[in-house]
Amino acid sequence: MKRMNGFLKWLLVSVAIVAGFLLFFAGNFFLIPEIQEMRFASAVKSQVNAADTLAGKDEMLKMRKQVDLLNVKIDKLTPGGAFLIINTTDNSFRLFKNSELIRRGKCSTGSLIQLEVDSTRSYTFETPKGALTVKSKITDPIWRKPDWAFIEEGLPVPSPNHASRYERGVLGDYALALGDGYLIHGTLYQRLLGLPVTHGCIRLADEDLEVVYKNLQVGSKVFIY
Amino acid sequence: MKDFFKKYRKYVLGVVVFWSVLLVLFLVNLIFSVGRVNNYASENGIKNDSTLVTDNWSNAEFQNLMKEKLWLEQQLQLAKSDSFSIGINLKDSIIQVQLKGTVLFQTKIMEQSPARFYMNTGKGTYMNVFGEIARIQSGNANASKRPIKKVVAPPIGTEKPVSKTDTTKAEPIQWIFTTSNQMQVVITGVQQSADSTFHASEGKDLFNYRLKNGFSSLFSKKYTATLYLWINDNDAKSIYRALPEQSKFIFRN
Repeated sequence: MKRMNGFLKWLLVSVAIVAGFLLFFAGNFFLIPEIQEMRFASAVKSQVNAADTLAGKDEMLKMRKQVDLLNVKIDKLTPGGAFLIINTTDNSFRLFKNSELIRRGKCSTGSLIQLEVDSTRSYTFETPKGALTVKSKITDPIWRKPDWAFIEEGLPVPSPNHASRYERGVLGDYALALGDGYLIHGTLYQRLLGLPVTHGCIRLADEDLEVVYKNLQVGSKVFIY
Repeated sequence: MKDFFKKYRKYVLGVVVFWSVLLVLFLVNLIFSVGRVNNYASENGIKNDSTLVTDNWSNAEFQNLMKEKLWLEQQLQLAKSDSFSIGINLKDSIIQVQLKGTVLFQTKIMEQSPARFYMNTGKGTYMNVFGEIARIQSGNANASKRPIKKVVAPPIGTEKPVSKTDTTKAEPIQWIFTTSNQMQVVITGVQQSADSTFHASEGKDLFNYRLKNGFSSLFSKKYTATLYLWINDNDAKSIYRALPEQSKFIFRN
């Protein structure tokens, strides 16, 4: 009985101490931030001046006109004609024409693999981000394989104009050049669309590529983020 | 009951003293915490000011037009830059990424906390805090902006190893950043649930965030107004990876 009483005593004290700490931390971690937010909300709240609640009709009209003008200026910044937006995180594309969305779908963009050849040389397969433009349009494109295409296969790198550098039929029916060797083109690996698997180029499905090719012109904007 | 207290007087007194000490510490922290909010308000030009009679700011429709005008003017300014920038529009509940005047995409804010952030401010306060384009000054996230994978080129004559594309579902992103106009934004990604719906667990995420940051905030000497936002996880990751480290930032409510 004495032992039981002793145990109960220490149990109650321990529970009281633990409860105290829990309440203390709960108060500091949760209650104080709430109180801070309430205090902040009241600090930023302005006193409403009742005499000022009615704005004149002229002032209202003037302000609306200014806003409308700004909206027109902003709209003019969006490219007229067709432009393409590529999401490299989601591997998706949206094609716009005259600010209307006309097509969307999956694509493949850079794999973000860094191929390390030796201590001084490496290749990073990344699709460049920013506002690019279509530099040229190509039908039945032939792929001129760069050095990394051989290196990553464990093959010796041939001379610049060797026949093994040229491969037909792997880029689809069309290609759009974006500069610096980056292309929008087709792919044999349709099942990989939606995944980041390329060496930097943008791959589209055959039907999507045809629509994009027919709508984008040389000089059309391609936004990549 | 009397006998109980008589018998265990020592222990009851000890517990009461212990709880009193904790209560005092809590109250001291509370006073200092509220003081930090007041310091933050005064340092950032936040005043409980009454609007000027000629200003029309307290007219809700006019105020909205003035905020809209500021928002559009800032977008025009951002269009001159070659860099991606982010805009948070609490009035329309959207976050957008823009480049050279073109809004590349917008995503709906599913939930926000607090529900009224910088609401009912005076014109002076609003212009002090949001009148100029701000910048993201520092940030961290549980994801990488450029998740580069290093692969060693196979020696000549050996076969290229078959690379497996990682299709495991990554955890939702939580991205926290502070801006040059002294606000903190916490963006939490919301993934699609098993029934194909999106459901932001605002309460649970806030609880976890405060639990994780409780100790650091306990000893923090500064208060920063914090806005918590929940958006689609894919969009959150897209925004995070699109923006450079210190991108420009605009806001309206």
